[in-house]
Amino acid sequence: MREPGAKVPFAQDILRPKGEQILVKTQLRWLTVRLVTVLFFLAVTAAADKPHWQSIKLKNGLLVIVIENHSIPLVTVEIAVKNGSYTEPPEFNGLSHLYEHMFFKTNERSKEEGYLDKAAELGIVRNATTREEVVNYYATTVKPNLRGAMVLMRDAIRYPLFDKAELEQEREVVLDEFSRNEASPFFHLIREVDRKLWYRYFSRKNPLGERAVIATATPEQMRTIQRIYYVPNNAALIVSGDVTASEIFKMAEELYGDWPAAEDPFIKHPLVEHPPLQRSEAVIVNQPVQAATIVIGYHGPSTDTDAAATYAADVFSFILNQPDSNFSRALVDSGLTTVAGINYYTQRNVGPIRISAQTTPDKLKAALKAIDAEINKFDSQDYITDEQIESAKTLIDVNEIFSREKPSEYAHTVSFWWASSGLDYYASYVDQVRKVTRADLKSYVNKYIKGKPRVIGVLISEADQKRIGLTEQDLLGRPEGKGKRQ
Amino acid sequence: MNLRDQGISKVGKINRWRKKASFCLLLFALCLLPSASLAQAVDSTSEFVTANGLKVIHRQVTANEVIAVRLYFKGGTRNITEKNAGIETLLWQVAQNGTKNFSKSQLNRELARMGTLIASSSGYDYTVIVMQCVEKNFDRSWQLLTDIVLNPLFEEKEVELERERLLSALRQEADDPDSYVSTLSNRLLYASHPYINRPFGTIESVSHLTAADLKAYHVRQLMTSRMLIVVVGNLTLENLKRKVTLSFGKLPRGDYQAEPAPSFKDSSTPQFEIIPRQVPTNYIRGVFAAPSIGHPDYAAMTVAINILAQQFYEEVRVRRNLSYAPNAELLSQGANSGFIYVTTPSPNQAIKVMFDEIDRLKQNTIRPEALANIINGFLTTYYLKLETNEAQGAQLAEYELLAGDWRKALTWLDEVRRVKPEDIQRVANTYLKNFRFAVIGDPAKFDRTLFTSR
Repeated sequence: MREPGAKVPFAQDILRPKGEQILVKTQLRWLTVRLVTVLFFLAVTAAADKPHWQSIKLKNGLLVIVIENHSIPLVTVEIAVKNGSYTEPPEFNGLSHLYEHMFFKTNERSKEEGYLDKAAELGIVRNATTREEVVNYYATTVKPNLRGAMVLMRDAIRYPLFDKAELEQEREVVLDEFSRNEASPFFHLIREVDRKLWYRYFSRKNPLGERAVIATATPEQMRTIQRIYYVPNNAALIVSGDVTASEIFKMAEELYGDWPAAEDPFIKHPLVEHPPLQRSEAVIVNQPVQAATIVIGYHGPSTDTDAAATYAADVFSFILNQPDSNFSRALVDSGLTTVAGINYYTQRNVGPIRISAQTTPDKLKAALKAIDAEINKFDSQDYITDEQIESAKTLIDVNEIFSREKPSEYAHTVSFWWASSGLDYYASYVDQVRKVTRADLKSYVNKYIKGKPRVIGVLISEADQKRIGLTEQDLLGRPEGKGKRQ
Repeated sequence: MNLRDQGISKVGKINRWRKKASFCLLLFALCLLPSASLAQAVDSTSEFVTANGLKVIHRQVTANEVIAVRLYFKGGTRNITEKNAGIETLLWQVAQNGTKNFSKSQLNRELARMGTLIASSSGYDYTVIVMQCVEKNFDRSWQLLTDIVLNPLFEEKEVELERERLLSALRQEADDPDSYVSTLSNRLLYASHPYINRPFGTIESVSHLTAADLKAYHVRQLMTSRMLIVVVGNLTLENLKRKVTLSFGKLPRGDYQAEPAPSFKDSSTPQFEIIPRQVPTNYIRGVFAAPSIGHPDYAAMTVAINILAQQFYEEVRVRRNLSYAPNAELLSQGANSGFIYVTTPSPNQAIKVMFDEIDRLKQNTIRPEALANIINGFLTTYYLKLETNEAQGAQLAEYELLAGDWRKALTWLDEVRRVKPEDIQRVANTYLKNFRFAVIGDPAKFDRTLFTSR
């Protein structure tokens, strides 16, 4: 369960044992967060012990969710759409993201004056993100401008122009964004691991997309996306902050009620089925880096088909990422790695499990062995304690409290869960997590990690690779105490 | 997420050189706003000083069950030298790995059991140890925090472990061009200034730091004249007074005198430094000396930079599609600076547009209604910064430590409202010059003369 830009307990455990994420202005941030944002870009956000929202569904299928928080006179209006790379065949790979960029461009209603002018007058701070399974747009402003924000968001989602000149310009902007990603060494590691992990349908797990597709995108393609996915019965309107549910429900009906419903996009365009890995794969990525970084990827559970395992996955990750876990002690406290962690990314359509670590090139081979040794113990009776299981549940619980403290970001959290698990899942999440047993954890490990095919990637400089004589076969070699490396 | 989002909290384009029809609506909103919430914050914030001289700022917030504590040690880079740079960063990291009363394992287990977060960060002007917990766990969390601060063990093994982690990060600092260009450009401005000794040190300085160094340095830190505590959450003033007195009441007052950070020297000429590197796009960051948070020009400068950031967004990104991420920002440090930044395949073209916008700001007076739009945007960002108790505590401390009085945080919006168009033009002319540029990319694409022309 992760949310970019929100709480990052996993990341903090990886790079700074205690509480990195609350130091927004830390001067050390550049030293620590870089790796985290690339390797572990999807941070954990916990979920509610009871729903902290009210919701209704309009006749056209638009789900309206209201999160009241009157502590600060701000409102956030967010629209989430079940779109993103999971809907993208290769020829559309990157276009959900480009569409996202076009959202705040001129629309039919704002053509006269210019959309951004209005946003500025309303003091709107706006932004958007594209993920695998959701695209969300949000505008935060002061309370008196609530209606203005609701109107602006409606106009943007319902009446896009996709002006050809604007689209051509924005393609260049997105390509520079692409270049910025490419400038980070970690980007290449993740991408290569993902290519192998999602070997049949990589585009469906690649929100950034492909350069060539972005560079040649047309308004017609944008309209295709709009027609299929930007329909009220495939969207949610989330309003958080200093509002009341009754005023929002009324306003939503008035402003969004005549948005015509359409066919469920996923009937004609069902999700692909990612085939399981047939065998383990390895990849060595050379970049001019000083450290050696390891990422091991597995296919994890899906909320649609194995929700129980997703709860166990989160508890298991929280346990291992604690500095006092056997995993952290063996890898970090031993000095074999400077950071190490495990993460499961909740998804409707196969969430990845990633084990990640960083070390020096000289310690790389020993670190790889040590990681395998730990994986082999994941299902041992004494690998985790009852206290650790309970603490993990508490951490998930408290994390939710911290998350709710910031209503503008909590709206993003809710929209993420709405798309990737459904609101019912999210509403009962903490209760479900509390029920996770030791047997559930063992079952999760054996079903998804231990002995399962995986993709193991290493980021290292070419010179260091030669110096230590690292080959892909080394990565696929024999783990200690086991036959074949998994 | 491997996708960056659409810029950093852009408020959107403003055609500030022409009239807007909906100005009345805006004024209406402005009139309504600095509302009850802010008044409540003012009323519920207070300070006290213990008998041994420890200043504490307290804000009671009942809207949530989170308590945020920030414990500061003043001085930052002025406490350190080239030789021991990084010592505060390392010290407070190691301090969290075991104390007289709690082993490392006990600390970690207890924190996990409660979901409490404790972290440290050393900056140019101060070091802060922060704690975030839920109300019901405050007493025990406070106990752990204070033991970390007062009784760290500094075991050799832990020093070695944390030192290696810090060194690993330092070794990698050039790997990512985005963060490296920031380091390089700051270094140009910080030459001949205490800030040149970075809080996280260098490979050379950190390599030589020992447990004995940390122990000796720690003793010198523990004096109330160096310290400040800020607590925001649902905790009564009386309870906090009791806790602070019990935990820190026996510390010596010491004789630390906080002095304003010196100004940057030699900032009167532009500079340009290029790191040739094959990268997918060129990274450019130019820094300039700027008024600090307590300076009379700070509010006007904040508005000027905000306008500039929006103009960059509009002209560089939207209109000319030269970059995904043009930006301008004003920092908040004792010796303050700001920067302009862009990544682009066309450096000369992009920087020319950015310079043109700077010139426009210097040569023209912004229309009052456009200024009002900007200020409206400030209301949103101002309140966004107040959403969490942790953020409120950080804001109060920033004003206390850098502007001399936390109460100035409460009047910030009033200061911004008083900014006049001519103030913006004046500060633009005063500060937006002598840019120190560091760039990473293809040398053939950079015109040094252009980059050193402002």
